[in-house]
This record gives sequence, C-alpha cells and structure tokens, in this order.
Amino acid sequence: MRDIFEIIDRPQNFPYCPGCGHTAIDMALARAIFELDIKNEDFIIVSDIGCVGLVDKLFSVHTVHTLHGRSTAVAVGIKMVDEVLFDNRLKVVVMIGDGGSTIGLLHLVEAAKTNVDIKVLIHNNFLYGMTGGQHSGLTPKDFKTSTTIKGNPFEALKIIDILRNSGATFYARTYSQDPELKEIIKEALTHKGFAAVEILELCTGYATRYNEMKGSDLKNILDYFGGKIKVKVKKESFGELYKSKFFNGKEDFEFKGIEIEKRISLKEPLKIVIAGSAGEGVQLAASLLCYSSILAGLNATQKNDNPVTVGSGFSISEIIISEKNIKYSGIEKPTYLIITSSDGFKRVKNLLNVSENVIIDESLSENKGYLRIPARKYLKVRGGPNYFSIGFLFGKFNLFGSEIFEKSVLKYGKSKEEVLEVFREGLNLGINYRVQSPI
Amino acid sequence: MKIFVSGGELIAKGALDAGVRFFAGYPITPASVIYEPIMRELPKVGGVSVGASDEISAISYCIGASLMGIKSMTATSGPGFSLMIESVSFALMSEIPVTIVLAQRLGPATGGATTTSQGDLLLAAFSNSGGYPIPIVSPSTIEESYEFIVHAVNISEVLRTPSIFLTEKEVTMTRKSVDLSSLKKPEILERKIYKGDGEFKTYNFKTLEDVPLFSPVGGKYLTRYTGSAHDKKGDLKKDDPEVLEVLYHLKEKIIKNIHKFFFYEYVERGSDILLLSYGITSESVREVSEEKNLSYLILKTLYPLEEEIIKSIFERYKKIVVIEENIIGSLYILIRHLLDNKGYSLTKIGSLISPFEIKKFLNSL
Repeated sequence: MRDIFEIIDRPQNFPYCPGCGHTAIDMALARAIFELDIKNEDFIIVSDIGCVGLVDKLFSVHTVHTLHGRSTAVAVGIKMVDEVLFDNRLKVVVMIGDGGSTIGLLHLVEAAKTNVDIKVLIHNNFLYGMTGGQHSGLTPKDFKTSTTIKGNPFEALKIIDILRNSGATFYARTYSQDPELKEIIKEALTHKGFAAVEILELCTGYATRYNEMKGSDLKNILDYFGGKIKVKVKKESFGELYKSKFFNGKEDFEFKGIEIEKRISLKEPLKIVIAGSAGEGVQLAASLLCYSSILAGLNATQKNDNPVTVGSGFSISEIIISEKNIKYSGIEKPTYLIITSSDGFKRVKNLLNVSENVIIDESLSENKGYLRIPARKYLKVRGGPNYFSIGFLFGKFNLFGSEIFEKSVLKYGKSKEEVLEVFREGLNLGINYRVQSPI
Repeated sequence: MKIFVSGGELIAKGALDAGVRFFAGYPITPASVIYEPIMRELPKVGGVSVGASDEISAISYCIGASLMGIKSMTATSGPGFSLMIESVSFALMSEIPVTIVLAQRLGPATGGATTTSQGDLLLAAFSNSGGYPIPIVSPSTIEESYEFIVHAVNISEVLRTPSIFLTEKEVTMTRKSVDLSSLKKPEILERKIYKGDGEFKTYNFKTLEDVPLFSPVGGKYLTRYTGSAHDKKGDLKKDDPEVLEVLYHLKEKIIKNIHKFFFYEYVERGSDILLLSYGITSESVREVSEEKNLSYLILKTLYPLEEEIIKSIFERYKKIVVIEENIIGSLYILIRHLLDNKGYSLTKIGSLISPFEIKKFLNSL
C-alpha cells in the first residue's frame, strides 16, 4: 500500500486547482484504503468524466475510466460478477461528479435498488467544472454559474434523497473539508451492499468566480441539501439474493429432442395459415400441428403474428410443412387457409382469393366455395375452434395421419382430453366431407 | 434428433455453449426471444443474467462483467442498439470484449416491432464515434444462428473488441424443425491472458495489429482501462505519439485479423449473373439459385470485408445482383467500389423478399 500512502498529505501531487475539494476527497479515500489495509489489487476505482476522472493516475489500484454517467453501471457489472461468480473480495468505488450522477441517474437508482455492493462517492460541486462552470442538475436555487449568471431558477436535485427512496442501504451527505470524511468513507467501504456518499465541495475555478462565497459558506449549502447525514440499513446484497433465488451452476441447457415416429412422404409442401383471435389458442394449436409433422418425419416452420396487445385482436400462425428442408419461410399462396374468428378473417382477407382451400367458421361467410364448418361451437375448450378446424383438415384432406396429431397433443399439448375430443369431432366431420365429395 | 426451436433459442444456446457467462438485457421485440431463455438458463449453468433498466445499463453491465474476464453478451433491436452506441465506442476504445446481438426490425425509430428488416447494417458497421471498424457476423439461416453466435463471441474475445451479431426478426422469431446433429459448432476461442512477470501494460502491443494480452480488473496485475485517448499503459494522454499509435492499432487489430473470421458461402453454377445477399434473404436466394441455375455469394461476415476475395469472385460475372431487405441498399453501398459498374440493387421493405420477387427482378434486367 506504499503507493497510495505516498499521495496522502502531498497536495502538490494532485492535478486539481489549489483548494479544490477533489484533492481532499482523494486524500481521505487514500487514508481510508490505507487504514483498512485493503490490497491494491483488491481495489477498483471506476471513474466518471469530469475533473473527478483525473483520479486514475493518483492511485496504484485497478482503474477503469468510463464514459460520462456510465461509471456506476460498469461498476455494477464488475461487482455482480465478483459477488456471484467469484469470492466477493473486491472493493469497487465509483468516483462521480454531479454531471455523471444526473446523466447516469438511473444507474445509481438501479444500483441502490438492487443493493449491488459498490461504493459511490458523489463529488457535488454544483456545476460542470471541466467544461467551463455550467450549471448542473445539482446546482442549488439562486446559485450562479456561467450558464445561470442571474442565479439558477430551479431547485437542486437532492441526490441522496433519491437514492434513499430507491432503497440504498448506506447513504451519507457531508462536505469535502469535513474532518470525519475519511471515517465516513471507511464506513461506506466496509458496508455490505450499495453505499452512496454525497460530498459537497466548492469549485475554486468557477463557484467562487460567480458567487461571493468562501469555503466556510459550504455549510449553508449543506443545510440547503438537508444537512449532514449518515444512515445504514441492513439488507441482502445483490449477490446473496441472486445466489439464493436463481443461481445453480449444476445444470445444462439442453433442448428437448423430438423422437421421429414414422417417415411420411409429402409431394408438395403444405402451406397453412390459421387466422383466429388472440386468447383462443391459435399459436399453441399451430405448434402442435408442427410437432405432429416433425413426429411424422417432416420439416416445419411456424411464424406467429399478433397485435402488440397479445390478449386482444387477431392471432395468426403461418406454417409450412415439407419433406425437404424449408428455406424461404414466407407464404404467398396458402394450401389451406383456416379462419376461426372475425378478427382473423379481417386480417387475412387478401389471402382468400389466392388460397387453394379455405376452411372457415360458418358464421363468417356464406361463400359456397369455402369449406364452412361450425368451429366456434367449440369455444368452451381453449383453442377449441382451432383444434376442430385442424381435425377437419386431417379428416377432409387425410394429411399425414390423425393419430400422429393426437400423439403430438398428448406429448406437447394442454388440456389434452378436451382438446382431443374436439379434434376428433372435427376429424369425423372432415371424413364425412371426404366421403361425400372425394378429393 | 429433431428440435422445434426459434432462432432466438438457438442464439441463446449457442451463446452459452460459446462460454458466455454474463448477460444483461432489456426487453425488445424481436430480441426478447433471446433475453427470456438466457434469463432462465444462464444461472443454471453457472452464469449471471440480469434485466437492466435500459439498454445503456445492459451493455454497461456487460462491459463491467467482461472486465472481470467473463464472456458477456446482450441482445437488442434497432431502438435499443441506438442507445448502446456510446458504450460500443467505449468497449472499442478500451478494448473490452462484448458481443451484441442486433435483431433487426422495421425502422426507423420505433418502426414496426414485428416486421422483419435488414436496415441496420450500416448503423452497425459504423456504430462508433471516431470511425473505427466493428466486426459484424450474420447467420444466413435459422440453423446458422447457433454457429454464428459462437463466431461472434470468439471474435470479440480473440480481438478484444465489441462484435455485432446481426440478424433479423425472421430468424429470431421463426420456429423451425432443426436436426440437432446438423448444427455446426465452431471451436470455442478464448481471450489471451497475460501471465508474465514484467511490467504489465493494459494495452501492450509490438506491431499495430497485435491484440494486447488481457488481465482482469481485480487480478494480480494492476490494470488501467480507459475510454479516453491513452498510451499503452492506459494513462490518459493527448500529445504523446504513442497515443496515435494506439489509435491506429485499434483499426489495424481488426482489419489485419478479420481474415481469420471471414465467412461466406459461394456456390458457382456457371452463370453470368451472381446473386449476392446476406441474412435471412439468403434463403430466397438459394431457392432461386437452385431453380434458375445461378451462382450466388452469401456474406456471413459483413464487416470489415475481405475485399480481395470478393473482388476475385466478382471478376467472374457480368451482372451482380445485390439483394437485401432495406431501402437504401446497405450492402450495395458497402461494396459499390468493388462492383465495377456491374451491380444491380434489389431492395424492398415490409416483408421477406420472396424467390418470386427475385425472379421478377432478374427478368427485368
């Protein structure tokens, strides 16, 4: 720890303007690291953009100098891995200014909420010092900056209040010349979980240029922000929660294979469009049709379409079943167009004239050229109209064996008995149709 | 053994098999079909998967995890990727591997969430401030999404770069019967780790195209990662000539090494016309090629391109038809200088380009 020790009490080694609070904060942090006897390689400083980001070179620890505002989120990624996949040994400290903490406010809020074990030192000097002293989200009301020369018209964000309300388990507010600063930082460093310390300071480059004030006036501003506070709450950290709720590490991700039952040959690919209503089981029924074709040794693709509100409006499944590998998966001319509701009907109107066969619920069309069936009679079973229609399809066109669809329902379906009953009714109707008017 | 899966599930499986052990995501169609299985499966195999509050957080978390030496990935679509771009620059500059799945949908802006598209190639290829190359791979079938996510992760790890896996809604959200044994599994490559006992420099290289040896934050060697202009050690600098050397290195590292990862499929059928495409549009091209006996070239590494290889193929043809699902002709623009005035651009938006539409276009030539 010699290297860190060397910067302590040597303000001449710092790149900051004389009297800048950043020097005091860095020194307090260096002393805290030294007194806690943390190893250099166990310490990571993740720095933000701004003068605060000049900290890297001062510390012989791991450093990551990130983008404006993103320091917190990068630190969170580091520490999530350390907490869950490694030994939770690392101290990860975010050095961020008022700009970084507003541009990356949501990162701070999320880190507080999830209680990831990072420590954030928010250097609040009420303005953007590196770019010319412009006002920030944390500029107090009436405070003058290069962009609010008549005084800031708005109140400052109280960042610690925001983080407290976000579930922070350690939050403190103080000022850069506070003799207790080092102790507060030490407490933050040893706290288990998210810790945020807001440290108020005066930018000697700009704050004192635009405002008539000196260092001792900082205490008034501290009062404006809510005074000096330090609160600690006990709560499970991200790593503890993640490990207890999700983490396992002993299983594999394997797909469930489908055992092929037989090899059906199919001259031409079947292109089937099922158009129904959301909430009526269109997509599940369609996938069972695909599974059945795979059980029969064929290939299948399935594409679904529905409005963004998945529970209302149309629901469409496009299926191709083919003996050969399917390349282009679009359907311009369906072999079978199945329409089981008026929502579906509206959606696929343009396909009516190009489809080879249209199977439609009898309530939806009087057209004698279509195969009109009482599909919606079976609404009491989830997916009923669709299973009835698929049954009819198997019966009328003798697809590739109804028993293989039944197997697919038994293996992959839901409410299997009811579904099979409806399917068989459709099948029988289809067989009757076939007998009356052979294909 | 057959499975019935979406491209999204294959991407999730491929990523885990490639060794990805950290994933952060934010829901977006058509990439949620990757997010969901990874959220479910990653903790089971000993990884961390988290939902982030936005795409900026998602990629930032990934970058943090990658700094720990863990293979990291996120998945999004156009609007989310737009938010990530600043961090793509950061990962590029600070040489932190991260893989981004970009599942394209109809744009611009919110566009059409469930409408397929190939409109983001140029956005992805140039998705950094500064103008540096970012490797992009793209599967040309649903099955290939397994293989190419492994390539994407390999590239980011081996070249210490963000890499983009560019795909489409028609790949991620279409379910297909897939023969498990037909899935190609490339060799899994690992980041090269520094193990020396001299002075460690975070960005050390001898020749410009060298990939610096990696050491994780929190490891034995003190590291200095930065997104600011820096020397080989990682110290923020401006006027030092070494800074420019590092910047040139960022380009050379990709350009000179991409040949190890330059993937394409070229089928020669003795025709005068060459069909050229990428992504899911390739499937229509294959159908037309078979039916009309036409040669085709499908690019699976989309950026940077090995131009000499492409040129040597183009030389054999009188007409080169570039087929892609966007308005501007993104791939056409990328290769225009290689076309020697023999190029034709077939573009379309709103739905897949069908074999019929390709044939119609060819008839009009």
